[in-house]
Amino acid sequence: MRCKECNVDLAKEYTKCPLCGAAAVDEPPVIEDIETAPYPRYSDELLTRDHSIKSDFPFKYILRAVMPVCAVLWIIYFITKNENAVCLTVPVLTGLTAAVYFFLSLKEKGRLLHYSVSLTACAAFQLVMLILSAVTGTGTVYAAVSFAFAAVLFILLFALRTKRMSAQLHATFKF
Amino acid sequence: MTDKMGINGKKTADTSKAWFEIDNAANLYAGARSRDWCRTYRTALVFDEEIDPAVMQQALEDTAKRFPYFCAKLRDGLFWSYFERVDSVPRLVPDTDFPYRPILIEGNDQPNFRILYYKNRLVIEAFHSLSDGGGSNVFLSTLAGRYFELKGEVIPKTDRVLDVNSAPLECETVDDYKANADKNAKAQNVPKTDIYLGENNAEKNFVQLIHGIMRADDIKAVAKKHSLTVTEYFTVLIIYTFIKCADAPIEKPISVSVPIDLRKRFSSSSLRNFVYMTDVTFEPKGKTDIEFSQICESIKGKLGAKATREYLVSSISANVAAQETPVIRVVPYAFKKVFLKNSYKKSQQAYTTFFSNLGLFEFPQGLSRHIVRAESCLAFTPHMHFGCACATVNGILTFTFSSSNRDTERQKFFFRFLANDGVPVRIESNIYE
Repeated sequence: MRCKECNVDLAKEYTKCPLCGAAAVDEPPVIEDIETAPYPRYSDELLTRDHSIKSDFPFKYILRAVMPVCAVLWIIYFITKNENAVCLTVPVLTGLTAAVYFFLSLKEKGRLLHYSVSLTACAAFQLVMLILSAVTGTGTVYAAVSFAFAAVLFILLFALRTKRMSAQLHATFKF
Repeated sequence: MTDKMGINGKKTADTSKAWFEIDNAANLYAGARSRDWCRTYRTALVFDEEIDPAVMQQALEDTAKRFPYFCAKLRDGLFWSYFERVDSVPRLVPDTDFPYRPILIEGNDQPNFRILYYKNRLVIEAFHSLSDGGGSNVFLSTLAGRYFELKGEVIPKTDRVLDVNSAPLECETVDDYKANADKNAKAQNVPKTDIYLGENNAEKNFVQLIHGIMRADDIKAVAKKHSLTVTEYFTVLIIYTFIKCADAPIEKPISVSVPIDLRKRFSSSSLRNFVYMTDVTFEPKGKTDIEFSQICESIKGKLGAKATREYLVSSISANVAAQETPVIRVVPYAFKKVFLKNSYKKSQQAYTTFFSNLGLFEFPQGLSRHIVRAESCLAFTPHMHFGCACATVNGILTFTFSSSNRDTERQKFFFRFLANDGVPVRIESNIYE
């Protein structure tokens, strides 16, 4: 088969030219002895299918949601001087986040390292809170310290149970 | 690493490791990925007979054992991502979906590639962090060789069709970017970023592949007529096509990204990523009456100038140096990822499109007569939905356009120009009537 408009050969099964849509003409091809490698016919359902994984939702969004909330609570504290916003809610929120990550990591052991990275980010955030607490003299200091300690402890425990962490440290610091 | 020696006295790889570091280029692809997208490529071999799935599955199981570092999945680490070995056997899957279905990295225990088949076409679709086209072609060729071996053929082993019973070699697993980087090399200029990006009307999940099949001798002769190499000729024609098919005159430069396989230039046997992305740029400056010959003159020799060893060493050294900086090394990967994603986005916006010439696939006797042709296809990025690639087998070159919309104006212009320039072309597509 050939397309007269495009001056090209077409697979013998084609009725239309895939380039211009013109009707294929039954003529011998210029390039001979080429076998067609057929493709399947695609169903319309394939065009609407969602390929992303849904079960990952908490992992991606928990940390992203908690940190801005904590930041807003700090702003509320600075405006209203209501210590409960910071002394109570922030430690509870971050503590709950740590607990969720911890239990998720128990459920999905393959993701332990991934979760520990998020916990480290949580700990880093708490460190900022800690400094802020020390400067402003609020009672968050103890909660922040205990959370940061728990996060670091988690990472250390993880480092003990697998060589991957020590290998990564080795690759990073070349010791 | 073990000190065992494999074939030709080469050191065998340590296959006891459950994980391994990813290479320099792979870091960028790993960081740039999202939940439903990762940089993928597709290579296919067309056989002279229909594939027997049971035999092919057995061949896949045998081949997977020879490539332990290929049968791996990406994991995020504390400082960098890394590959974890997958011991489960990869499954052969019918190729009934649109090409480039996302390779899911998160929550997936399968290796970061898939082997597909449909009638007489064998396909590999792989995540670019695993390897580049050159590396995965060795996997695909070895798989094809093993398949025909199981069907009773005698297939001599080469450096492209490996012996599945031999031990993996250490040189196949090396990050040759690091090995060839020179700390004293001068940095090269980065490409211009204000580039013509074309129209971007992507249709969800839709992928159209249009193959132009031609004789390699015909295209060589035509390229020679214009005093160009085949890669230069196609690059010029791609630029010319963009100019002629644009809705409005193009003011910004058109830049085509062209990967250079570094293996031959650096005597590398690595099967991991070892390409350098260079670019060819042409500035139409709003003119629409530009002739093909004008672009030829403008870009002639530019690719060659960027393929010198000195240029390549300085370019890969800059990339390696950036990742080796002590401050960057100690930053947790969660933060690096944001930076990598942004870097990748910026790097992709420096090109109008991609063109990859995988070159000549050479197969040993026994296998060669069963391979009709090879198809190389480039998947899209979130910012670019049109790419092209070509590969040659047994004197047949297949040029493939991948696009994520139904507009075929550029493909039509490109292949009509080729046909009128003296290259007979046969068209096949995955969307046809």
